Amino acid sequence: MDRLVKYASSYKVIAGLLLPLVLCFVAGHYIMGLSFYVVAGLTVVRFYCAALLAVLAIRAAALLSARLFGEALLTFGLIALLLQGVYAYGFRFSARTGIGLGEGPDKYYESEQGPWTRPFSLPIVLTESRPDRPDTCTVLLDEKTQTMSKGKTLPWQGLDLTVTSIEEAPLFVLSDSKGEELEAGFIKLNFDESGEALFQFAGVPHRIYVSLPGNGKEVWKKEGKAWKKKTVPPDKEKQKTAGEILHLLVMRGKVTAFDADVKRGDTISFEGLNLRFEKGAPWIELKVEKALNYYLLYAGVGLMITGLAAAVLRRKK
Amino acid sequence: MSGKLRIIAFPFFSVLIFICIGLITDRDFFRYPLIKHGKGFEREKTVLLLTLRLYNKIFNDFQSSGGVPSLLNRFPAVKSIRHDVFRDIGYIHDAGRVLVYDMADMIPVDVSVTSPFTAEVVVLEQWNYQYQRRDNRQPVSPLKGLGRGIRYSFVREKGQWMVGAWDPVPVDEPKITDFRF
Repeated sequence: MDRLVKYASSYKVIAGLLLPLVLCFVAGHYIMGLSFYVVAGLTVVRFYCAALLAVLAIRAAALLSARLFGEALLTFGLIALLLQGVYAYGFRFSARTGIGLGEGPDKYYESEQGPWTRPFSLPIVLTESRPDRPDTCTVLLDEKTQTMSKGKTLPWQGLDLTVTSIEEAPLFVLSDSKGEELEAGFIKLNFDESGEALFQFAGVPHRIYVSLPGNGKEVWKKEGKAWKKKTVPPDKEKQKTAGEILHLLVMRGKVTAFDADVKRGDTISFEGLNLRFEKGAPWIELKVEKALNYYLLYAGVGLMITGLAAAVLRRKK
Repeated sequence: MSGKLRIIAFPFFSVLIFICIGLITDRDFFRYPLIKHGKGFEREKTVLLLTLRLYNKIFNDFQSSGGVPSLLNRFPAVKSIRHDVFRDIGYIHDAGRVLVYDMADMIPVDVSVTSPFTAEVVVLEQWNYQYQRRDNRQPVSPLKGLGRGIRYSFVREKGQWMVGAWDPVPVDEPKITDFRF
């Protein structure tokens, strides 16, 4: 039994378990371009991490019983470092949300969360955003008024809150052919990399793509037999009209129902429906991140240094 | 086995076991480097395009049948896309119509496997379509044609590629206004 414990917790076994993990993280992150969390989520990685933790725990216990405290501390340090990684993976949370004037946060998007992160609600309401101060806004956070600046992080109950943008959400009004209003809402246009934002009304299946006129875009063109992505440069004249004119593309299934630039206040018609947009209300995009604690990391490094020093001293004696 | 060889042997076998377990439990991850660097890419491209053809075929079937969901389990799309398709069919159904599509052509423009679990396919789709009365299938609109570039985002679920999202993309092709069956 002793021999088994000794062998199972030897440096050879620890190195053997650690090596494929390190290689996998390096290959996954630096070669494949995946996030560390994606690699950490692989079944085989979790299995090897559990095995490594078990081996380290056996080793620490064996060293303690042999009164080799320096080496035991070193092993505990390694365990703490590994647990820090497990904690960061399991309890991470990062997402974005939109908050309109007088509203609470919308559903999270671009969300990244660990398997053990519990759902939480964010008691925040946007109370003021003035056009003369485009980089700041006032929010009511947990019944306390706070001023937030774009790009600056506000810590709150273990979360880091950052306003990433302050924009205007145009008012879109959908009505039927008789002019009867069906739906209306301030639409928080969340433009993607290609400069397009998509939204849908609840009552109709149409997908409404909004883009700013004159924005540069990428177009696929055929050159010989191959397709190449070409960049159409931005049109600065058209860009000046942003806010007054939007490009709307309305699709239902495969069918394009409407595709043209639209002026604010003008009504467009498609498939028996009318749509117009008006001046909107301010909204902010908030990045919510869990501020992870690094106590285990510090403890691990501290234990390893102490353990190493103790082991070296003992060997010198 | 000499001492030095034994030191190397254990980590070597450990890495080998790691890969073997990974090939069983996380096959997509371990195959990805091969796909990314060319080997196996053609096969993956074919799989993605075939999945897209199946998607469009079943989409067509749903639309033409007025929403008979018999092929729902074979429809390679995530829940939100399935929901969108049936929402669209319901909308046309409520107007007493059926939209009959027929795919004239699907020209692959670009296929990229962006991670072990995601891929993107840009295609130029050309369709004929016609609205018909739901009760007697009499045409209520002329036969029309459409051509549009679409970028499909795929996600891998249980080893299968599924359409996770789609968006129109500008594909510069002479505008085609009418196709024939």
